[in-house]
Amino acid sequence: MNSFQKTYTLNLPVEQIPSYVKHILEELGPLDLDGDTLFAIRLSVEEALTNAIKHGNKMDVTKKVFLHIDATFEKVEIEVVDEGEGFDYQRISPPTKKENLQKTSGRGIFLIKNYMDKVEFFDGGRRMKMIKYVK
Amino acid sequence: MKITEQKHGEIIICALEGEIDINTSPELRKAFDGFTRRAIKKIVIDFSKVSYIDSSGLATLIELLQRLKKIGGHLRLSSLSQKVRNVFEVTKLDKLFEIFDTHEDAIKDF
Repeated sequence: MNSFQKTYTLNLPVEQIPSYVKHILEELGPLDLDGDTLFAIRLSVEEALTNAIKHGNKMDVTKKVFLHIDATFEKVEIEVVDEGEGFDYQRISPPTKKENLQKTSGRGIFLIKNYMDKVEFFDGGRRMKMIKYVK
Repeated sequence: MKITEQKHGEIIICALEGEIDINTSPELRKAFDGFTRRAIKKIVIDFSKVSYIDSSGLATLIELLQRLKKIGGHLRLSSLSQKVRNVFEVTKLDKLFEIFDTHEDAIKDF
């Protein structure tokens, strides 16, 4: 397998995200990604899906999340789209600020930005695209 | 997730095994609730068999730390793998938590 493209349509509770993402990573198996890359992708996809279901769709079970993966030996591109109202992604206060360190939320997007090589938002925050370049 | 408790004097060593994510964090929170109910003030969480942590896991640990601080207690983390430790470093939570190489080192520090 030289490349992998697939779109997933999700309508599931957040508790089921980890097992769903594990299944997706198994599908990427033939690309033989290294452990650090797989950890980064897993963390970023789980955080992005959690945000999409929790904060985007506000746990509305009638709304879906769409996950698109386009992977090659060089890079893994991932898009996560929700059906919510979007959010102002430029107004996120860094969780690493001293006054935010003890907060129990607000780390998902920060982690994604640190573990992926490129992160972009579109459609008022409803669509997030992230890229991990494979070493 | 497997959660094992071991008493060492007044210190509880809580060894975790598995992955800390949005599915397993509630189970961990329940175990931590038990510590609060029993008014345990000194806790070491041993991460040697933890291969993954996400933001919900970090939040669960912050909640425990805050509860312990309120009652004058202490929390130490030990034996983090490089991948798990990196999540703490990226989020600067290595500055909030006291992290030790081994649980023996963490116990000695009390």
